[in-house]
Amino acid sequence: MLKHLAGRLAEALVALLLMSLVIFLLSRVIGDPVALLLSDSATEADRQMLIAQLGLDQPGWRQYLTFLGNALKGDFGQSVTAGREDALHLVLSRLPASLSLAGIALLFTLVVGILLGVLAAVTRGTVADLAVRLLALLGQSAPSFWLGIMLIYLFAVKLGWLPTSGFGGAVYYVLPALTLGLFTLAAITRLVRASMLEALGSEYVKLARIKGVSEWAVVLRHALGNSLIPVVTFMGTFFATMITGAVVVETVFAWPGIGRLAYESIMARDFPVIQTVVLVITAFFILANLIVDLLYLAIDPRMRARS
Amino acid sequence: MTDPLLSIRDLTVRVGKRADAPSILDKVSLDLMPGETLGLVGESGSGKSTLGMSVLRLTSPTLTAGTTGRIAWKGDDILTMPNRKLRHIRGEEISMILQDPMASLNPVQSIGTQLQEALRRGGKRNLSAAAEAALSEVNIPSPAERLRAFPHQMSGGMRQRIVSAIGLAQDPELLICDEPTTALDATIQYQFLELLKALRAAHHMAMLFITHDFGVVARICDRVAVMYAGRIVETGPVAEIFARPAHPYTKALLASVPSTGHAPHRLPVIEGAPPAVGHRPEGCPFHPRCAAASAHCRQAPPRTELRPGHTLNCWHPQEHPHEIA
Repeated sequence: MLKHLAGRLAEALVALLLMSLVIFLLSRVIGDPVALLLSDSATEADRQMLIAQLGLDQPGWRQYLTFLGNALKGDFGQSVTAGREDALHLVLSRLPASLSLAGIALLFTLVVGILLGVLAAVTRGTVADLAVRLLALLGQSAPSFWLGIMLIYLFAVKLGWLPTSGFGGAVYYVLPALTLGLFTLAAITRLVRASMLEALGSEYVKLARIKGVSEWAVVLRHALGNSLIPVVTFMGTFFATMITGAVVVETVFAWPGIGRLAYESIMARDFPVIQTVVLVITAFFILANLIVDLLYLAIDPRMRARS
Repeated sequence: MTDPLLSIRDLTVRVGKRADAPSILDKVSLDLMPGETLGLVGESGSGKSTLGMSVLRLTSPTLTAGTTGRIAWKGDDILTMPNRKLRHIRGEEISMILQDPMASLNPVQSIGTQLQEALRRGGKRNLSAAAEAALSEVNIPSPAERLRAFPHQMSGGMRQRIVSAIGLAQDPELLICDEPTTALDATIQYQFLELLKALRAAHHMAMLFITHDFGVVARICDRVAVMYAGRIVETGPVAEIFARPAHPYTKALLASVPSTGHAPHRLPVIEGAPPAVGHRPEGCPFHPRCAAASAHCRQAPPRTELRPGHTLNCWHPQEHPHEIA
């Protein structure tokens, strides 16, 4: 058990290291930081000086080691925009807004998605099942930028119930969380419905019914536990959807998180910040997958035996 | 004469509600006495499993909607009784062992949890002691340890014994066995049948034993009903059916069972295949494959009682005794 966990942690570190290499290489390929940093009136001497100052005259592997060493110390360089803010500090200051939004969206998505999925499976073939399936289909086909704008139009502009955008108390979370979560909500609903139907038709559910167990207990105690296994499998993917979705949703709702920061720094060609955002997201991604692994061990005894 | 425990009359199961929907079971009637073991024999698709599931009203919703007739359990009709009452019959009075031991245990629950769920419903107080005793009864070694184990950690034979322990946890009066030995190795099959016989004696149960294997019937059943294409074609005491099968289908089926003590020879086969649901012929469903068939056979065959308890539905009963090897 501990050995398994240590193995996964080592894998995570290797993944993070590889990712840092990819980020380093990409940032060298995409653009010339010197050209970006110099003003239009700079001379060739200024240029040479900056190259030496930034260490760009060193061989590539050396530059990477320097980058890695600095990264380990928490130094990801400064933002190239006017403020010259420390990149890591900037990213970390935007993280709570993103994490709280993604967390609320994920929680809402899981609770409602599982409920709807179970409801649809139990009422298979009825109007309720059809309604849930239709909703799930729409949820998976609506692009989030369009959905966000439509929700703002309806609930903020027309009805005036909720703020159009911005960051603040609970009411500010409703529309962005809904926009961010709807795709995943639809995916979970469909997943739970399908696996629930499979479980309800299984022999072990038949055996539970033979025992005389009530229909409620059959659904909750026997079928649900098994049908949540695929949901756990896809949790990593759902988390990824939340993160990538955050770039669009945070931009639409002017949400001060790392998604919007990523968008802004790309528009400003702010490479140190882009690198830091990508690395931080990668770290969270790896963490999420580790949590999924642990959840797996908790929910499926067959996995415990294998590890 | 005592009343039958289970009395099925004109049980018809159609695929859906419509009167012209294809039928899986066609006017099946049978009686089961307390403590008696009745074998239901037939090929795949003959409807024997559907019959077993119908007794506990466990067929799929489409089939449940298309079920007519009467299944009387101690006089009460199972088909029309309220769910609440049915739940108390399930497990407590009628229980069932399913065919596939690999699939019939919940993979994410421990053996103990699944067994105790049944024991609790049976009103047992000290659940862990009762669970250990239940596993000992089905010859599971070191039961205390096994209670904490999960299904994937056990062999098929062991799982089937655990399924039996769950089936017997509430001390039922009738145990329906749906091909419980089909998925097991030959040696394990024999052991398991011996175990079932011991359990039957200890619990004074009646059994409805669904199988396609006449060898199993000979080992465990008192009476046998032979099914073909959704109907019971012949029924009688096991010894009588083996010695004097009168329906051409039963005769052909028995002739195709391999026996020891003979030089290897080609076993006789029944030409053709059983008709699919929805394509069953008029009259006797066996007539297209039957050597004795005549023009009469396109009409519903009469029910004849050859000897007390030995009845068949056939226009041309084969009266001469069957040679037993």
